[in-house]
Amino acid sequence: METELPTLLGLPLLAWIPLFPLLGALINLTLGSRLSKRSIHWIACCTVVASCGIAGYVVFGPLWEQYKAGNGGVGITQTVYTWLEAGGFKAELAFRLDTLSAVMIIVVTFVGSWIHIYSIGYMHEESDKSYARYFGYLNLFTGAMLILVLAANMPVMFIGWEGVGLCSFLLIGFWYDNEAYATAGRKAFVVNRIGDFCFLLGMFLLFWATKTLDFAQLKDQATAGPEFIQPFWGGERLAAAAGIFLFIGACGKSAQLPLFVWLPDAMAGPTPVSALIHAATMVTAGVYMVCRLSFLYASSTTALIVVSTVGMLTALAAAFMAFAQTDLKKVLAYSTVSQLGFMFVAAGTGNWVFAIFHLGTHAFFKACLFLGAGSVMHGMHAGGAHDTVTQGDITKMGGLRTAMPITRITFWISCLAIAGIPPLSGFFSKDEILAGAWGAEPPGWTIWYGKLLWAGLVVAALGTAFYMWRLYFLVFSGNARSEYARKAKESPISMTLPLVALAFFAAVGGALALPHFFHMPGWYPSLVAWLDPSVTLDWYPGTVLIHGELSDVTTLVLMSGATLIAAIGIGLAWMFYGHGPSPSLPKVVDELGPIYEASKHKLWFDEIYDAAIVRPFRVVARGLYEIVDRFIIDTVAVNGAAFVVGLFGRLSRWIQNGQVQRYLAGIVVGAAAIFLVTDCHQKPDFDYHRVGDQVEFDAHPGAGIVGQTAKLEWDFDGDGKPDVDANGRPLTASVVMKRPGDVGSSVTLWVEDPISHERVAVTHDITLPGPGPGDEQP
Amino acid sequence: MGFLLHIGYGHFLALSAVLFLIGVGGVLLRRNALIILMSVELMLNAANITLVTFARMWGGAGAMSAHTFALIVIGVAAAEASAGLAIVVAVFRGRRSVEVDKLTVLRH
Amino acid sequence: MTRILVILVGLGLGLALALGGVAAAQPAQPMPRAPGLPIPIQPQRVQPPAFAKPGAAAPQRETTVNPHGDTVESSGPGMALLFWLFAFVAVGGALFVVTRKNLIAAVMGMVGGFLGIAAIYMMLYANFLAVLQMLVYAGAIMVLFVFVIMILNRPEDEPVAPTGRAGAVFGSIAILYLIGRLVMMLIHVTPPDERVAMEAPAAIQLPATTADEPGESVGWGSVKAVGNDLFGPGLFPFEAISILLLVAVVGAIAIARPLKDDQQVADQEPAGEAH
Repeated sequence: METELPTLLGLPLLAWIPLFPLLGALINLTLGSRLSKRSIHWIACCTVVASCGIAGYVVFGPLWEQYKAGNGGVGITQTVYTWLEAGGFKAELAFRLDTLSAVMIIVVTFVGSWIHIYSIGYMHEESDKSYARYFGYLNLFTGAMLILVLAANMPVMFIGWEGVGLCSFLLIGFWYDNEAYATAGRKAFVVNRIGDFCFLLGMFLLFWATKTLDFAQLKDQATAGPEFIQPFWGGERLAAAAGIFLFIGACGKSAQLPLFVWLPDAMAGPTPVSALIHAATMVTAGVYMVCRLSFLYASSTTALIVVSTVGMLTALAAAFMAFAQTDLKKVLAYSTVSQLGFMFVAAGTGNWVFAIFHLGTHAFFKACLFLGAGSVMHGMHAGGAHDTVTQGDITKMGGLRTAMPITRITFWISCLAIAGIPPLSGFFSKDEILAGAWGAEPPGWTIWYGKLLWAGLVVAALGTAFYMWRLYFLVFSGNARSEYARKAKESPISMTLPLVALAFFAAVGGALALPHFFHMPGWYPSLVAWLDPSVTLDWYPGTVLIHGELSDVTTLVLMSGATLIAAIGIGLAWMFYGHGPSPSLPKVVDELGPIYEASKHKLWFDEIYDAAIVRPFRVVARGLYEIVDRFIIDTVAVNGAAFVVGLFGRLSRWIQNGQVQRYLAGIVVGAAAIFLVTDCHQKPDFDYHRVGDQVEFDAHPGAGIVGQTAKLEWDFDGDGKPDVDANGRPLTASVVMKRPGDVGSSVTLWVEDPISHERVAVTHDITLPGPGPGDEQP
Repeated sequence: MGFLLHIGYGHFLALSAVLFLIGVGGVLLRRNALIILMSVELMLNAANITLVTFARMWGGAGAMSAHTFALIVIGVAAAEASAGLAIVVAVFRGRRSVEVDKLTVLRH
Repeated sequence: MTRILVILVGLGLGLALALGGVAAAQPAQPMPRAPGLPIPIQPQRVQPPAFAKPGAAAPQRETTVNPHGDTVESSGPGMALLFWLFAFVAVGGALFVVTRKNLIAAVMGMVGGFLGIAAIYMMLYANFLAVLQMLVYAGAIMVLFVFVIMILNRPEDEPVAPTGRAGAVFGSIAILYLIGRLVMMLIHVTPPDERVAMEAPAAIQLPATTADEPGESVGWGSVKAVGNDLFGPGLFPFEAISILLLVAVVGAIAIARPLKDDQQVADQEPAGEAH
């Protein structure tokens, strides 16, 4: 049953959710340089808050009622207009709200609103122009992200997909006069392009196979039609090919192995941007997309295995790389990559709901952590550190717990959450993912596969707990290790208020989906029940539900195990960093040696890419520059074109000399040429064809002097002399009808020029066509 | 040599063609503006011969329109001659020459 | 040399006038034709019966209403003689125009050529046009040319343009080719209707002026016939040409009017320059 939504100012209400931030972006980017800072941030914040308000209304109003009525999976679709229509392809600018996108818009608008408010304090030192630019981009990003999550079909999703990529580029390179930052922006853009290209390929593949890109129709085909299990790529299913292509796109956007390299560099942007884009929202787009297309991935075990394996490896690698980082934000960036890996493992084991759940809780605690990091940097700045490298250097911090109490408390809560300590939100979401991985039994794969995933994730979780608490201890515990840290001050209320709000949700967010025990009363309806209708539960016949059901005991054991792991990680961190870096640390680092180096240099990924891709690419580009650009385009095309034009100019200057007489000579010569050409190419000839029971001979005396006035003579009987008619006169007509019996084996036509008396003879051997209508001569 | 003795309409048309081409030759080869103007008159007359020949060839009262048209052509020729000669006089006054290939001011 | 040519042209002129008058004024007798000669027009098609038997054809065509009663065939040897004579005069005059160095000789050749063309008009029964040709061309326009030549009085130093010799050579070759080609082609043009084409043109019935009186019957190509057309369907072009002539006259005066500076230039010109 469809639920109708009202329209606002002639546009569907759903369209206003992304439209509000986009309008704010339009105003700030066009008129921003003339507005005061006050009006700029009021416009930016109000549009996002308005969008949040509408999102809240549509989710807790109409959608809630629909859900209550038991139609959770139906959703609400609103079409603005038909965007593209070409042949069988039709893309409408349509928005779809269901329980899945509802979670996303709430997270995006809610976290986004807090980050907008936080930015007022954080960015207040920017010049007026940059201030407007910053808020314009931030609004643009929010709008694009909302388009992405609300899209009802893949082309519209792609608008948002590209839009957030663009905003990411713009905001990473926000301080573009710093060369390194601008390079980081470019890197993010280029790496994202690789993913986007594969996303497009997957999209085209889906359209090619199913002739539609609308999510609802795709889902119908996946569950009802055979398209998705058609063989493709040597027996593999179509769903596997499309799914893997789309997942590579998700890898680019969500910073998964091997396309994660841009995210640590993306920390060049302002910290609120890192919080909003590179932690809470944009990077989760890939996870959202996989969950949105759950029906596609559910049709192919291979695609799921790829997703979960890549997720697990990323979680491990990123956790490992985070150990040795000394930049506050980089640690958080690797932690983000690692947590995104967790989400992909959940998605790859069919636990769509928990992927989204972890996405939500992660958005809260990671946003809080990033904003806390921003607050710390702001405090360091107040303490006298002016360049962003020093501001974020954790080796120069320490002892900030007294100077920045609010920041410290919120950071503490979020660190507990990300480490997975009950009862904070991160515990529940991470535990569900671990449990799901443990129970995964993909058909055709070893039963140890799930356990392997689980083991990898547990190690990653241990790492997470360790490096996050290392970070916490280094920043807040011990004594100040620099002058700046000693003089650091707490941030203004516009920055601490969002911290408190986000920390609150990071703490209690887990209540949305408490673990479900078979033998204990669960909180139903919870987020699980809310999301279930939107992600697929109908697995295509032939595939098996790969996330197995766990007994209560297993669940409890796993839970305690996860908690224990987190506690061990925190304990280790305490051991080494509890009161500042412990004296034994250099010895440990020495012993670890190459492992430490590998972590510090993020497994040399950048170096490998540089050697394997960037340098050969540069050589090819250099060659193309020399050959294609310098030689073919510059020399041959540009100068060559100019040379040819000049040549013809010089030639025609000889003719076009302004003398009318020479032009007239041209006209006369042209006229003569026309006659000459027509004279030369028409020789006298004749043809014949049957008309009824007679044969018609048509003479073509030719043009020119031997032309229409020529004297014709025929010889039909083949005696070599011109024939005469019954009256004894020569046959001179140009069209002669003869009975077939009167015609000999060859016919001759003489054409005589009346002026010069030149005689031309044309002789053809005659093979008479059989009687029949419309026969032509041979 | 029957074509010498038996005059058809083609002879008149051929005559007009010859006159026209002689006019073209005059425009093409001569450099005196007056001769060129006279050659143009010659070409117009050749066209008139064609008009009159075809009028005679088709006959009837409607063919009188061809004569009217020939009259118009004569009028145009008169107008052209007066304007052209005025230009020749003006040019001669300024440049002391009526040779067309020396009138190259507009080329540069 | 030039003088002899001028005299020749003048002679040709007089001959043209005299014979042209003969052709126009005395077409009453049918021209005898040599029997048995092939008909040059449309040799391969159906032979017009009227010309196959010249003697018998004339009475049949007496039915045509003709105020002068003339039935002229334009294919007789006398006709041929006249045509060749006038054609010679016209072409000779034209050649005179384009070849003479002396401008007056050229103009005289032009006058002769125009008179030849006037005679050709008469052979084609365009009496009014023939007279007009003589009046307007041989009279008015040529007088204008002569006046201008008198004002300028500068014989050409080099008649043929020295620049663009290639253009002139190619153009001349093309013109010679075109002359041959067009003559060969056009000489065989056949009239669409033999009867209309070969008889003297029928008289034209003018529209009635009053209800009870029928319209006048006038000769084909006469002043009345042309005037009827000129002030009937041709009224607009007639008015347009009058405006054109007015504009041309005003324009000619405006262009040729001596300016102050020109006058000074002309005064400074050495007196020996003008012959």
